[in-house]
Amino acid sequence: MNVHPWFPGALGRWKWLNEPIPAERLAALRVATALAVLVDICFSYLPHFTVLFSADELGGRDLCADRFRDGRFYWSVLRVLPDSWGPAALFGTWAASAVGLLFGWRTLLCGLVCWACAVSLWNQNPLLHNGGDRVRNSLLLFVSLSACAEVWSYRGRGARGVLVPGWVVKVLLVQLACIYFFSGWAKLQSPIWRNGFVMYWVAHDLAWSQWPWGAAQVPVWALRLSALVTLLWELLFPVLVLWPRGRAVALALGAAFHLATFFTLEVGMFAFYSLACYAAFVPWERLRRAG
Amino acid sequence: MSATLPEAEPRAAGAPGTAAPRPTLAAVCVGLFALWQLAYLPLANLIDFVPRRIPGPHPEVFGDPAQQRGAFTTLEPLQRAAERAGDALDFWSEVSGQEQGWGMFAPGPPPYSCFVAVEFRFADGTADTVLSLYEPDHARPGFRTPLLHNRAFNHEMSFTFEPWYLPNDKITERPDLYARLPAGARAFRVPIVSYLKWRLAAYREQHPERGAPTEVILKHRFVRTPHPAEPTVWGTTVDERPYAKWTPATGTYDAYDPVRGAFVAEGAK
Repeated sequence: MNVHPWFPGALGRWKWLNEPIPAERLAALRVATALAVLVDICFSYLPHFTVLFSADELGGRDLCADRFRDGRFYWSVLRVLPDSWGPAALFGTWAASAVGLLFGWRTLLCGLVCWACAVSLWNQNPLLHNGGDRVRNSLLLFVSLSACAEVWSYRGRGARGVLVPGWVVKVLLVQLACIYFFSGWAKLQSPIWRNGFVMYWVAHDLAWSQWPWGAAQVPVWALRLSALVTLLWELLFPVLVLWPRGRAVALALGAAFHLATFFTLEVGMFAFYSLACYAAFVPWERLRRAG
Repeated sequence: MSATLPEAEPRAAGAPGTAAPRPTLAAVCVGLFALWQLAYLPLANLIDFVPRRIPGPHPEVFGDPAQQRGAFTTLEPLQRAAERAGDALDFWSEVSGQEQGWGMFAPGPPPYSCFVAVEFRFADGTADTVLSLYEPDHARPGFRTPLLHNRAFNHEMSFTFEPWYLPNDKITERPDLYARLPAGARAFRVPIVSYLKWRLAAYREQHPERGAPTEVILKHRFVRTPHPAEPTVWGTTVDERPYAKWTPATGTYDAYDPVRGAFVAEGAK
């Protein structure tokens, strides 16, 4: 959906908000998001699909019925589909729309369908999910409304030097800044984050660490240092991204953080969806220039 | 986000001509959406710091745990205005699936790991306990493959969030916090009973000789983590505490009150 947004008054002249960006960046965001959804479906949901979604096991549409009480606005298409085939139909639709998004086919439609499936799952059983799935929901909404199929789509590589509206990247940057800064603020209140020992306890936690024995081989000072760097990076993220070099440092640290947590802690898809956001900040257009 | 393009003259795909055209409905909608998102994202996080009188069950099982509850002022119009603003932000959070309130691994784990376990009690007075699917061998915990078990892991670990920071040895220090646990166990009634039924079905398949248990209890296990100066040996102490009890024959469900040290039926004072 390549629509140049209209902003009222002075906002329409605000360079930061109106600056167009190379089309490759939004195309990369679209591809990374679609790939993350497909990985999510294939590797995190499908291995336990029957157990997680069967009403006779851990699923069923009334599992978290209280979430849909009067006065709340949660919704899920699984509330109106039968337990017998509803989840399978939803996953089939979700995967098909993710493939459509991957190839840049009707991205508004595919993106919104993808988003509706993701939110439906999130609302139907929040127990299965974590903060990474909230990133997923936001990401799919933003991608669906963006000009993400001008290049690298089923129509081909696209024209050279195409610029598209960049508002999505700005919204994404604000979302990332909120995630990191408010997480950092919450951590700052904790004494074990301030002295760095939190990473020792996390790494040795038999539930949340994916390899406590391996983590036990890492010196305590290194674990403490990683905690303090994480805390500083999260708190400073909104400031660092204000200028290009700081943004590159903040995003590089972020990529390292998400990769490290993916392999060491039980964070699931949080790492993949966060890294998918980062795809919009890589200067992919330089690859074309180099080629 | 600026980029210098090497090719001749960059052109914006679908860019308007030199004369500013009248904005289309789509352009207005996208513009307003972008502005709303730019305002919504920080505001939805900041509103958590403003205490609000939120109706509904407490503790709220799902939703934004970072939201402070209560009142921040005695000026009713001001308090109400903040709450209406919060309601509007909540509305968009819920409708769009973008709930905010971030705190990855804050405040951090306590010096023990918390797992669930299921105890089956039989009419003959015997009992059998099955551990969490994710509780490893304490002697040498192995590597757990990322991602493949994460959804099922999340489901099971949801039952540990409330008691996680409430080990047995601190009950006398803050009994008010422990007194909230039964309400949490009741709020999770449906998913906990479905989990207990699922574990029971698997147990009976593996132990057909045991027959049906009279009671099925969800317990928490607090497995001590070695301190930094100690040898790396997990579980030198393992504390257990019941959380909820389901009686298969009658379908009754009771929450455990650690302050009283007993199960309490729903509605009991």
